[in-house]
Amino acid sequence: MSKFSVLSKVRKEFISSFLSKGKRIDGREFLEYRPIEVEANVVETAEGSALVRLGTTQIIAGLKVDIVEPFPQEPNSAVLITNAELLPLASENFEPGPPDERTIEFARVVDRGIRSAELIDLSKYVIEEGSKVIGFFVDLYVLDYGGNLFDAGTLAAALALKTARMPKIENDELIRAEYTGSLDIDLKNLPTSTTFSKIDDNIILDPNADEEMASDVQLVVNVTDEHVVAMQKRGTGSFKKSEVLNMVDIAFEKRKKLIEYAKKV
Amino acid sequence: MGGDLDIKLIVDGKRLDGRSFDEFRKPLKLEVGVLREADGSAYIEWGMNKIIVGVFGPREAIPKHLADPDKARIRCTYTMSTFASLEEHGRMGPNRRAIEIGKVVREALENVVMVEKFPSTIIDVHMIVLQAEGGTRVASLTAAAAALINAGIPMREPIVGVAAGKAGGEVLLDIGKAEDNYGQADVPMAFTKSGDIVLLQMDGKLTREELAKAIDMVEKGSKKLFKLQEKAFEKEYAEPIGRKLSLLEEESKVDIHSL
Amino acid sequence: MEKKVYLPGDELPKGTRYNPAIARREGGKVYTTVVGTVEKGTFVPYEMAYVPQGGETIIGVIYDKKPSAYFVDTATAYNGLLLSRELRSTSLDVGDVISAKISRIEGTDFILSYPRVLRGGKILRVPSSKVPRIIGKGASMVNLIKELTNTEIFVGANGYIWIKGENVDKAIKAIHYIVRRAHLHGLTDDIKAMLESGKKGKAKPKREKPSLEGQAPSRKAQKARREQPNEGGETA
Repeated sequence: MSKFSVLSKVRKEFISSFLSKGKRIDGREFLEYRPIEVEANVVETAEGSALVRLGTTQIIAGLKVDIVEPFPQEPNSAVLITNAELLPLASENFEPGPPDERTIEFARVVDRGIRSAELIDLSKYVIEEGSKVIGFFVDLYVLDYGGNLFDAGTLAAALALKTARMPKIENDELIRAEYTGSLDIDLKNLPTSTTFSKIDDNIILDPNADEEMASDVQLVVNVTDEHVVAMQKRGTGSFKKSEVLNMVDIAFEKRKKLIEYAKKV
Repeated sequence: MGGDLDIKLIVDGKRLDGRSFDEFRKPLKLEVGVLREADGSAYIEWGMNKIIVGVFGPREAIPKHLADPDKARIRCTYTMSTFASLEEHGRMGPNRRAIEIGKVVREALENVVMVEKFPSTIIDVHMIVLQAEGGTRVASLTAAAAALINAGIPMREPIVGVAAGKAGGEVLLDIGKAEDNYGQADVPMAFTKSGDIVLLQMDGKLTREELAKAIDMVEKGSKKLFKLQEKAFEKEYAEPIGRKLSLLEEESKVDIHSL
Repeated sequence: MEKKVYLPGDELPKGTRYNPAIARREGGKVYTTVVGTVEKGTFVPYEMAYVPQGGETIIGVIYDKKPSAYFVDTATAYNGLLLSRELRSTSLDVGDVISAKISRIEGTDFILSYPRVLRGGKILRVPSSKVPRIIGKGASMVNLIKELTNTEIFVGANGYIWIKGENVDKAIKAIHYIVRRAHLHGLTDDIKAMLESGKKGKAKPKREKPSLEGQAPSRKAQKARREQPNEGGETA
């Protein structure tokens, strides 16, 4: 057995021993979020930016707006791409280098939530059909990994878009640092993410780093006011049908609190 | 170095942003202990620059062949965010410039970090530039030294860095982006507190006299940065006024690892 | 009380006691190498990366076993190596937690001796620079936590802490509080207030018999690092 797997096992026993008594290692209820703090416009060079703290997790999202060519299969649609970097300063377990599968999964799930929720009406940002559209590039930088990147990342990305300033466009060119106003965004389409971890047979919400590592399986649920817009089962374990539907109900319930942070900025 | 474009960088003895020749940009703020996972960290705001540095170690060298049996090895990475400039969306991943900056900052730090105390280990210094306005390498280095101290890694003495340069025909301290782009020279430097030069690069055209003046200017300016560093640590370890025991605040912020 | 913050390279006042692991002598003067302050004539670090010195007691987790030796995780850059012959009768399993003394350092290996198996408790990891504060003057802090939470606690110099007993979660909370505020004065009062406020009329837990062995690592670390730096320490 490797050192890592032995330590994981010891860690899991530690966390399980708490959960079996109905407690979590940090004293939270099973379905309780850690404190959340949000700050917008933290990076002046970006067209939009937000810093989200979820417990000890810190993620910064920045938006750059460019004029780009549309994807050939979608000539009438602006381009929206979300990317992420798990900076090596965020955790002793993050290594410098090209993105690994965990980073790519994280970026893609956040991307799917924002896209499916239609947070931005991409058809509105076409300058010249088939050749010139607006490109929205949302990039997430994880500064501190304290568990549950997905909920913090989705909130940060959504807030960077919500608080974005659209640069002026003149003769099909962007005029940087001159802004025309915010993006057309409806809060009911702003996705909120709620992540669950299953450890033994206990389901907890917003896992911290240790709980995340001890998880048998996780479910990320993104919802808008009316719809489920993205889900991702992570890890090798499995869920029962009733568990999945129950978590979706909770995600809708937790949205009421999460959306307040979007209203604040 | 754009050379002699017709942009007036000096007007009535003042620089474009109103600074005198030997004045730092504002704001100039340094804070330590800003990250939870890193063993030491620092955040610097310097003009429009916003940079975070996190330090890990000394830790086990993996893979093993990285280990030097005589001393700790320092690894330094420099990352520029894709939204760090007002221009278009940047590319993710290190470019040649980032790799060079990592190297020169590492070589500066190797002068003062007591690497001989930790044979066969690795000390990681990771720098992320969230927002850039010129002079990021010296600002990153200044924050990196503070982050190493914050990590409790033994150092002989601190180091700080600042660039001097020539723009509008004058030798200037802490040149900004426009002064760099349209000026005649850029000389990033780092000094130890006892006055040794541990980072030195130069780009552009200077006479010997101008270079001497630039070095003097940086040496003098570095005193201000050492003060800034002291202030940052005094603030970090000062007794907060009216401190109250708040269990609720603590409860949900456990940052101890179960292992 | 002295309030000045000393940074690496600052000269310590004449006569200051210091731990040679975090200061250097040059030309008759002594300079600090880490950030800290001078309290009652002693240089006290605010932050200190773990510099193994040999002789201190650490806590570790067995992660591999071979016929002749156990491999021990120490949460540091060093691997623990415990020769099987150090154990008299019991044998250990992967995942077991032990406390042991570093008898010598070979490259990046700690050669361990005097092992003691710690069964059934919980293990935490804290920055090793906070260990002296968790232990407190003459082990006062750790004893206070043990008493008020009715637990048994071993603090390893490497930053691993083992806890077993009644209110483990409260003890963890108290340790967490110290980690966050290790540099502040009046910590003992805070911890007392924190743990006693949580009890609300409950009977005072019975005082545990102080476990001498349990405190051995603590006192050792305490001595080496803070309280009596003259022993194995030096004076500027």
